[in-house]
Amino acid sequence: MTYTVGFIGSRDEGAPIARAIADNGYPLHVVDEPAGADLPGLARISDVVGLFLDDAGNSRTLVDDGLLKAMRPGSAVVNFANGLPEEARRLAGISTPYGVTFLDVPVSGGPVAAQNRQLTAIAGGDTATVSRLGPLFASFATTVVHVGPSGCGQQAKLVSDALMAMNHQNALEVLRLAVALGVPVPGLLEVLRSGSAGSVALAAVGPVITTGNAGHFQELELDDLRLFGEAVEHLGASASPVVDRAVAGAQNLTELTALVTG
Amino acid sequence: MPVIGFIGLGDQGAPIAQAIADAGYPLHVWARRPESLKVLDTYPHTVQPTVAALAAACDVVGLCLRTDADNVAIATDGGLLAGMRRGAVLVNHGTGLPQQARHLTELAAPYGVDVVDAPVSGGHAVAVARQLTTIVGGDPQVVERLTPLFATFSKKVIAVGPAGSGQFGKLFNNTLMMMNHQNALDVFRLAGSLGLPIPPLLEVLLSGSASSFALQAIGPSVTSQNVAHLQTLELVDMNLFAGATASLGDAAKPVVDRAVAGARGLNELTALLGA
Repeated sequence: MTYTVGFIGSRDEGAPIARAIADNGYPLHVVDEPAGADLPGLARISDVVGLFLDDAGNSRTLVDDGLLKAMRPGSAVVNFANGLPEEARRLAGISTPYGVTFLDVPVSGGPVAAQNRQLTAIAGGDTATVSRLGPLFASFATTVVHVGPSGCGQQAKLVSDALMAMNHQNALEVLRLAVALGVPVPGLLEVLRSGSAGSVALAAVGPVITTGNAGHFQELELDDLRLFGEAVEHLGASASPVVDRAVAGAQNLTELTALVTG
Repeated sequence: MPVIGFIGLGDQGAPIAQAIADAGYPLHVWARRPESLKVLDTYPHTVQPTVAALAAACDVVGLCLRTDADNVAIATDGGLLAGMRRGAVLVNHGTGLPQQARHLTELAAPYGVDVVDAPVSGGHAVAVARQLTTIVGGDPQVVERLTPLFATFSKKVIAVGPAGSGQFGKLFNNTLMMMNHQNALDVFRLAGSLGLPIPPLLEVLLSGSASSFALQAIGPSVTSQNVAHLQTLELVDMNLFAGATASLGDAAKPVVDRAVAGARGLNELTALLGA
């Protein structure tokens, strides 16, 4: 079934998702920047509105700018960007009285997977809606996972981001030791990448994460990990070792990149 | 074709020797217990009566023994080095200390024998499929000359660097895998506290940026049936890693501790993932 899709926040990371949706034959209406745009107009013609904004942007767009009020009953809003699980639950709750279903569907895989339309879509929210929109998600994702109710998509995405950063930290720590011992890094890296030590985190350094862009990736990872830290704050001290290790992995990404590409 | 000698026809050594014979290399073997030779029944080979006789007949001698001490014993008191030809190569396929690889190289130098450390990664089934990864340390020219031989049982032969580098490569690989296991355990414990359902979370982590060989292995190759056995092997490797990095003192401790925790927690991770 084809439905009309509105997409808000189609710059940067949102762009390849929007392009894939259009290429798969969905009538697509795009708003690069919500400020000054006719959001109620977009809402009225859309069966589904995709958002790629931060939490504050989502809230402003949906509530303050009147998007939600103008949407048809039975339509859906999907947030593809990372955000807080709690905020996903809150927006889902606000949407319900309008007959609108709000889903949190952040994506994983990085820029290369985004270009190749091989992302993983990590869905939280109403089961029937996730299943109905599966074909839409499949236009940019090879794997669509429905994790659970509202907020679960964000939780799983943030856990995934944390685990990737922690895997970066592991790689960094062993490479530091290798350097200290005088083990030749290129040969060792070939072993680590192709062997049981391999990880997407390690494989990405060099081909995707370079000395030129490591600082940028580092900032993005730290943004995600700030959300992760907030999302697990209520667990108290039991969460700190995981948060600390993930943050260390992100903070040291430039060092890891220098060691790997050196 | 060079004549290849082989000592140590155990779980790992037997499939390696079989692949070498199948590739057409003249294979000479010696074994302390004659029944060990049964694994070569259907493969062309020559049985030598003594270590010295094997040494004299071969251009390359491969060892796949249990420990570094076994290698030194057979190389020195066992008469292997004394019997080998000048210009011949002694290859250790066992996992051991980089320092011991260098020690063996020094012991062999007066005899004009080159030594290469070439531990293999992959386990018995992978060895039988001739898909091992062989991780090599030693003189680059010698390593290059032996690469076709290693290729008979390997999907990948990686020259890491000078003597001892093969052992470093193998031990660092296993250590990083165990550390990645610990990361996975940490986040699944946390996910449990968050009330996140494990099966879909696992699917997310396996398919996206968080994936790792360590995580992929749980289920297909690490199961509740074999996890205790794997843990024992991993802790043996971590003893070697601790020894290999001892010169760094406390700097290596966080890595050792984390990998050991990963090995000790592997049964918990396997259970959490229902494998």
